[in-house]
Amino acid sequence: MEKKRIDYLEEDSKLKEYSDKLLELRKDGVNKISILKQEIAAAKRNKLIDAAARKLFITENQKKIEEAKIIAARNEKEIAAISKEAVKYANELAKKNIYETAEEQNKEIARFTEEYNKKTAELKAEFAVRRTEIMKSYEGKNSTADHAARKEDLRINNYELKSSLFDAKSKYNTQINRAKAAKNQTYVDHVQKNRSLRNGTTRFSENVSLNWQNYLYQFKMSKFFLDNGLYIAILIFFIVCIIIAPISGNGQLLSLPNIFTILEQSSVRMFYALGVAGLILIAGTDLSVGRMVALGAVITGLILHPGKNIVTFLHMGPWDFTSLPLFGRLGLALLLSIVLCVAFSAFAGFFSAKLKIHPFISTLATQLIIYGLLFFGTSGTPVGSIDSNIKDMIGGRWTLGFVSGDLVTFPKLIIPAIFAIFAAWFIWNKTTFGKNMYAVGGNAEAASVSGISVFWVTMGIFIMAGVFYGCGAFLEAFKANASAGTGQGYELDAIAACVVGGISFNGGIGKISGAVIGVIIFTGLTYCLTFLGIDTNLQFVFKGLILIAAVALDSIKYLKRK
Amino acid sequence: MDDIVLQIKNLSKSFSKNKVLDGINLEVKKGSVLGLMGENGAGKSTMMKCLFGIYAKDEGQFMLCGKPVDFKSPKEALESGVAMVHQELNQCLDRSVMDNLYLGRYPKRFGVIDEAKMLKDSINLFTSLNMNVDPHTIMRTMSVSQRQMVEIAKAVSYNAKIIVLDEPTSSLTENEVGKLFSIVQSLKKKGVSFVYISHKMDEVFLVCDEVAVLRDGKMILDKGTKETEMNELISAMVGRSLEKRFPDVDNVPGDYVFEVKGLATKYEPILEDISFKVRKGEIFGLYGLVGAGRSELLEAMFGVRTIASGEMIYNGKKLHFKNSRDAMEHCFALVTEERKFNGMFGKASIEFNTTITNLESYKTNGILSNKKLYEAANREITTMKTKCVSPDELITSLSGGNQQKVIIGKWIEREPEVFLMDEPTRGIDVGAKYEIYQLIIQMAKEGKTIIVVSSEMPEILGITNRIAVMSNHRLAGIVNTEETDQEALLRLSAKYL
Repeated sequence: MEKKRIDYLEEDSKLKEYSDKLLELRKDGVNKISILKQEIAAAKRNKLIDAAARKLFITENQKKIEEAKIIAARNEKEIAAISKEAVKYANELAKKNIYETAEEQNKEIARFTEEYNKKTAELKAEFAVRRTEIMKSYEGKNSTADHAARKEDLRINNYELKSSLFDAKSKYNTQINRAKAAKNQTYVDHVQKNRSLRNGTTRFSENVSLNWQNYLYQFKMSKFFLDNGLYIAILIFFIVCIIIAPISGNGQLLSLPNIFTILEQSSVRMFYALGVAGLILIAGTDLSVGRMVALGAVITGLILHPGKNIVTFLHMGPWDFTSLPLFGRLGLALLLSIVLCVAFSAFAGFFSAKLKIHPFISTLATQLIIYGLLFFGTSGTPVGSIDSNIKDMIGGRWTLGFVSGDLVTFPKLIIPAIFAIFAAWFIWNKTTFGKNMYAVGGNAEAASVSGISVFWVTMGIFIMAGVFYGCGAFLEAFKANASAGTGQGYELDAIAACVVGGISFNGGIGKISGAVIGVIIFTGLTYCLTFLGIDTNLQFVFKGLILIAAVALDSIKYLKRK
Repeated sequence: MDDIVLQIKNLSKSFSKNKVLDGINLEVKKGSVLGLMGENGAGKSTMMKCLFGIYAKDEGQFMLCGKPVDFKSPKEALESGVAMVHQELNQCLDRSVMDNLYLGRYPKRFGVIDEAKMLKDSINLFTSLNMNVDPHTIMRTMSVSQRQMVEIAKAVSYNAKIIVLDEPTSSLTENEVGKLFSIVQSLKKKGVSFVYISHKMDEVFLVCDEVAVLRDGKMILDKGTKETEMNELISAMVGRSLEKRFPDVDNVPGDYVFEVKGLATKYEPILEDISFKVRKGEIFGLYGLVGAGRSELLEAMFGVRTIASGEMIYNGKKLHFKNSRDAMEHCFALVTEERKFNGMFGKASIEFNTTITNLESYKTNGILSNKKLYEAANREITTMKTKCVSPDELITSLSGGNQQKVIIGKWIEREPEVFLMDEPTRGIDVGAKYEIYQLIIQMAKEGKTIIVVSSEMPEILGITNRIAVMSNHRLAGIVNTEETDQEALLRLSAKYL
């Protein structure tokens, strides 16, 4: 007879005492303050009450908050002391819980496995007996009809065997899953109890251990390969490259200078990926990235050219910007680059947001428009190099010293990239707009019923992308002489990087960290292949294969298994 | 065994932790009609979907005329003689009757579709069924009941051995119901079997030979209709006495606080001249047949559907919502009918789903605070008694009832004054339904105005103070719940058909 296990965390009376005491102490203090603040926030949003009533309500609440603050200050020390004690006590109980449940469930799991194996053997034996009986019953009957009938009977027999085996396996799996869930629950309860004792604050270490525990609980070999197969394959690829590298005669691949170069090359590409990531998040895409890069780079190149420009634009110019102060020129170049990219992006965005034209089409349109304008305007002539002083100031490197015989320099371009990554992360995770992006990408219908303006979120994403492209294009000019053909095909790399990084084309899923990793992988890939002397055209083959592998693995996850 | 056309053995199916079907055993005899009853969420549709290959069963076997079968798709089922007439018909409305009849299997002559043969076969089919339908008619121009007849004819033309009818009379008039029954009888004589899924006990007693009752995924009752009676069926379906199904509706409504005057929508489906008044703290029911326009009315009130004329007044203040955000800022909330479609964010966590409409409240110094988001999620999990492991869980790993709780919790975070609910307990297990009823009554007691759309007669009679009935896009009447009954509601809902 199974003994009903005690759930220490729920049923322990001392722990309950602690909880109740903490609740009592916090009730009129910190908790009250938080409730009152919520009410003020709600009143500010409420358009049903008129301004005078609202003001009165807010002032009254603020008075109450002041009163509550006094109580809170009074109880603070006591709360801290009791909470610490309570958590320590709870940890002991939790440990007991976890251990005992694990013991119990592991025993169950062993029992289930034994039963299952026994059952499978039984079934197989039973159906083998039936099979012999069927064969026996057809002995001596050799007409075609008899053969057919026997075949049919055998087929049904086999089908029933498979069916019964399948049933047994399903039952076994359900039992195992339930046991595992019970084990996992104890960890979750542990962390949640501590959290509630601490009134909502989490300990980083607890979070980490819970996430790890959850990971173990949900771990399945097949799932692991589905989620990470791509990265494993790419890792193996890099390792192979590193091994082959010395043989190809170009020296060591895995060296600090090489790594910095990969990061430098990733830095500018990072901007494009961060921009297009937002579009992919709402199940869209952007085919105009490359041309926008050209647009911004050309403008920057024109403004920062030492002396008079070689090139005219739409029969205007040539201009000479050298008379302007340095920072004025830089500022102007960056500003114009951003403004133009945002303008075209918003143009495409408007059609997608208002008329629901798929971004593929609207950005294809802007791609062609920008291409035409640029080539017609500059006749394809490169705008010439940027003043070398300026070039070095932003795009140069700082010498760090020597490491194992190589000169190590730190590329300055990494700095803006880091700012961009932080900005994107902040927007995606810490702002209302970011959450709305996920909402629109995940389920636009639900978003519009939930008070989110799908139009403005879409426009916002296009505009944000434009800002990123503008910044990136500005920096692009520091790498090579800009021309109307600069950036051709960049969109493919940017989109591929995002997809490989886990931003799903179906929308609503993805993280900035994914985009960052994707960019570094793709840049690293290109670099490795070039380092090994592989033809640039062949590199496209690799990129294509990685892209289809990434999307396929992503799609398998969402393929409805019914 | 010869006279059993369909046998279901030990059928089980679970969705995540929710066991929807638990070891179901059922037999349908040749040439008989089996009534299948059970509340919403009892497992009737799931059982049928497993049979037709739309869902993969976890356990169990289907036997058709003694042979084991495992259909991978409705098409395969149809070709083997198992047909289904759905509650919501899947037909090509812009094509003719005969095009629909022969969809996917057009008779060909020399590689080209043989329209003459199609016509001849269709006419023969309808004649044999004593149906008066012109095969050239475009489906869209026919009434729902006529389209249903065509669907049944289609099943017959596939030489179906067994036809499943899913809530066949929900959109039919009395006359049409009679016609349906006579077709069923004539087909019975020819040896066709039926599974008749319905809520309506009177009909089941009229047309079925046997009746089976599902409750919470288990087969509770399986008897000949002559050997059982209504009370037995009711207690089998409900499991507890009717009074205990609903909590006491003991809220006391106050004065009239919200009024809708002459509301009409601009685009299809066009609602006309909807007027009613609701009191503070009242639970106001909205009943009607499928297609009467109730969901559209709620959408119009919430600013999601364009209003052509008419107005809404709350506490003397005229309201005109341009979009859902406007409605939300005026303390309105809307729980939609189909949560998968537009109620929840299926790719996101419980926390995301709870907090997404109220993000401004979870900020510290203008930045979203993880702590506040988490607190809010936990707050609603506690209030709604949602069964989950943690707020970081994906909402899709919860059962339907718990998903609905999360969605309702999301709106409660905003503390609305007017709560619009469209079929709030659809597709939810009985236990969760009760909890949601309790919540609705609790909210009404706190002074909120609740407008509930429901298609379930017992539900609308069980938890409301007053009921408005819509019929064919117009308001047919408003009654006090205590003074009305099923027949009155049905009569009103057929008023403008």
